[in-house]
Amino acid sequence: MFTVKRRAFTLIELLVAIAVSSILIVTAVSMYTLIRNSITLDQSRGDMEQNANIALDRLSRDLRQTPDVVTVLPASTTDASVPKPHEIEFEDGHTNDLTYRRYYLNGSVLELDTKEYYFASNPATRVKWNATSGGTSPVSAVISTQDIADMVQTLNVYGNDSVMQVEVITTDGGTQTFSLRTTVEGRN
Amino acid sequence: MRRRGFTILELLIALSLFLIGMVSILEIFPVDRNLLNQTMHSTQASFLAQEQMEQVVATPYSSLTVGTYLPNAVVTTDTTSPYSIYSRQVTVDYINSSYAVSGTDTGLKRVTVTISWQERTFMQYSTLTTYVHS
Repeated sequence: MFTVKRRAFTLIELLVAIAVSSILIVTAVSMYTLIRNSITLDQSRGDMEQNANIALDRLSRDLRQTPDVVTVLPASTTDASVPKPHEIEFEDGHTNDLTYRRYYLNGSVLELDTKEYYFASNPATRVKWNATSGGTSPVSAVISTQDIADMVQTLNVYGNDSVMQVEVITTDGGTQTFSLRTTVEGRN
Repeated sequence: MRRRGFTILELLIALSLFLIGMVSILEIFPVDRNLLNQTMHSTQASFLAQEQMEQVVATPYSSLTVGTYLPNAVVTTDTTSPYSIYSRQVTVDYINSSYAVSGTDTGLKRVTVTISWQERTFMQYSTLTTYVHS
């Protein structure tokens, strides 16, 4: 007969142990997932903010100095007579070498082209974008391109040569967006 | 025979302690999120302050009336706009040569743009100051 007391877990003990360790494991795993998601989300929010900040800062600083805006802009957010350009080209006001700057979106990247205009007959001499010579308009060439900011969804510019409202909206590609807006009064 | 092992009470205490610890760690995230929101709002506010300042700086010295130059008003009445939480106010003071507020016009004015907004339970302020001379 079984007279020896066997040392072992009972079924109940085993079940309790499994239940307890399951709770611990599930909690730990869901915490890990939650923390990771939260970090990813917070990081992209930080990135959105940084990118919008850089984009608007660079653009408004350049715009403030410009003597001449090439792009035709709607007067305000409600002006439907001119399509929203989502890009802006203007004469560089920092230098006197008659170059133009064009901010535009290439996918989600805000890019800046440095451009020049010249008549095909005289490529060595830069002219204004709206100059004419014998009924012909100048041709343009891109001198250089640089990336300004990423994650940009929309670039909006409203106003006229002297007062412009600029808005940059960044996105993390999902549902989060971040909008920044300012107004620039031309100095030149 | 005295069996070695945890009693159910010990087990429950251990589990609760563990869960309390976990929940406390999780509490960090809402705090973090709120701080992040606050920074994002500050950035928006400083650009909106700059926006107002641009207009003020383009205004001639004599047109900047001392006192509350522009009373506190919402930036936009469009409630769907991300800027609708902000209010803006502009004050102008006479300033003397040592940058202290003066009762009379000595040819220098200080312009202060204040942006205010509700951040959950409290008001946040962002100010931008500049000096304008005659």
